[in-house]
Amino acid sequence: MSSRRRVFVTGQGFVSPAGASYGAIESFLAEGRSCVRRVDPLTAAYGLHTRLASPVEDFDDASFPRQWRRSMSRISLMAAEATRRAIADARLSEDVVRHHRTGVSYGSTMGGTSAIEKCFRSMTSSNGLDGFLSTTFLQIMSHTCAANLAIAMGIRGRLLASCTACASSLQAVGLGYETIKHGLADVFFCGGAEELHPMMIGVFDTMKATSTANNDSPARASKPFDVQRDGLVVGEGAGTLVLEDAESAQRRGATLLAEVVGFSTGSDGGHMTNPSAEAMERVMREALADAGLSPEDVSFVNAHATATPVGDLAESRAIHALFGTKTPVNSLKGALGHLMGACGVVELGACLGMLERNRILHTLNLETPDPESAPLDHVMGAPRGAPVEVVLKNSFGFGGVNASLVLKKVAK
Amino acid sequence: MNNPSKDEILSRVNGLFVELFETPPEKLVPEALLFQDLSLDSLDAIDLVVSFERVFKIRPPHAEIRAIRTLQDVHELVLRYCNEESTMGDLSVVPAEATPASRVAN
Repeated sequence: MSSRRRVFVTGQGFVSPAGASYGAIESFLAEGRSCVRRVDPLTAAYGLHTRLASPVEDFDDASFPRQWRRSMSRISLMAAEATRRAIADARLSEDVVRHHRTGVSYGSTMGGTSAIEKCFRSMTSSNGLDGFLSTTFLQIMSHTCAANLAIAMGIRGRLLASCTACASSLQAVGLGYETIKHGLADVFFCGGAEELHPMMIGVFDTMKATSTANNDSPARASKPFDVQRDGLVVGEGAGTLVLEDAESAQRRGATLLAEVVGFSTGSDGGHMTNPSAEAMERVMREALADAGLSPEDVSFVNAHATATPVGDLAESRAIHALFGTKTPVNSLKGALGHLMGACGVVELGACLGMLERNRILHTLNLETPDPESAPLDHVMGAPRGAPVEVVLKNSFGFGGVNASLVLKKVAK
Repeated sequence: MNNPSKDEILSRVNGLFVELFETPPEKLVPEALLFQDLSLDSLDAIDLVVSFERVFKIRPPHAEIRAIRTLQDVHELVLRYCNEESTMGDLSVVPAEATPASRVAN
């Protein structure tokens, strides 16, 4: 019988539009800065209505070894760099990385979209497989991030690939937590990634879910929970958290950044894209129950809230049902945009910063909460200084996939 | 049909190593061992063979491909089958990139 073990975050690394570490990301967001840019070559050139995205602007994928690049599209290269940073941050030895009780849990919406496009262009132009190399499939397969990380880093424990759209990386962290909690692993690299591509933007643009009203004012475009919100902004990035069993962390003198104390995930069982407030609420309750905590114990809720009319409305009802107006709520997508498969883990990174600095970041561009939504204690205008002990973080993905995770500050 | 000369063929073979595997040209000496000296592995070997088909329009038998150890072995194999199957045409066909697809933007 496995006993329940305590699980800590002992390392982190990111490749994101807001920075490469949890501290940098939190600082960027605290300053009220925006990652949203006008990117006509990725939008107007394809006839899309939005002109906006949140790109990672300083990532040089040519700097990696050839053996990595041949099987890694940009998505996996970002994941690999985020993981390299996390390993360094956690001060993990090679012995620990390569131990059979060290696993990887990594997700993304899709495999490498740029490689997928190249592959199918070649097929349609040549009517054959002339464009295929031995590594073509490795770049486009859905578990490309997890598999490439395992090979590149020498990871020999469990490999989990939670490819669940926008819930991918939060699920990845939650699944890693559960695996360690139940004694099946000691260390896990958890996170997610997504690369920017017109198709990814086009998916939401086709559904009229992208922001189009502020194409000329990119920083003002993404407005989670706001009465004038008109859709999301698609972005890219990668993030890796090192999760570790308490004993393993103590044995090697690891720095404890936070404790993962609760997680749950479930499905709407209804519509593919229209969310269920009831299902969202249930997953939040279950995550808190897993943590042995009550809503009153939560310092703030970091919402998924993508600035779509329908999604934010449902989530507001779910949060209100649990927390009323007593608990601060924020969404980081006003500033970050929606990083798709990477959103959960990058936003968790910001949550680590908020836990450390005792301030709750505001929802950028939220000025007038939608009166149709359930009332919440929105953090608006500027970060709010407050003791931060427990964070509940949500991510919801296409297919009605819901995930909630609870982080707790480590007592000094 | 004007077939390429021997030197053109060998130059193209060496060019494939640079294009597909980013091999430094100075390492492309006849006695170079593919796996030990040029750092190729089994996946690279597959792509090398695929490039033979694409660029030289040749399909050597698997047994002969498996016997390859050095760059000189590659040269001799390609020359042997190029002479037997003289339908190469244009050697400037560019093989599919081994490196990731460049970003769509710009």
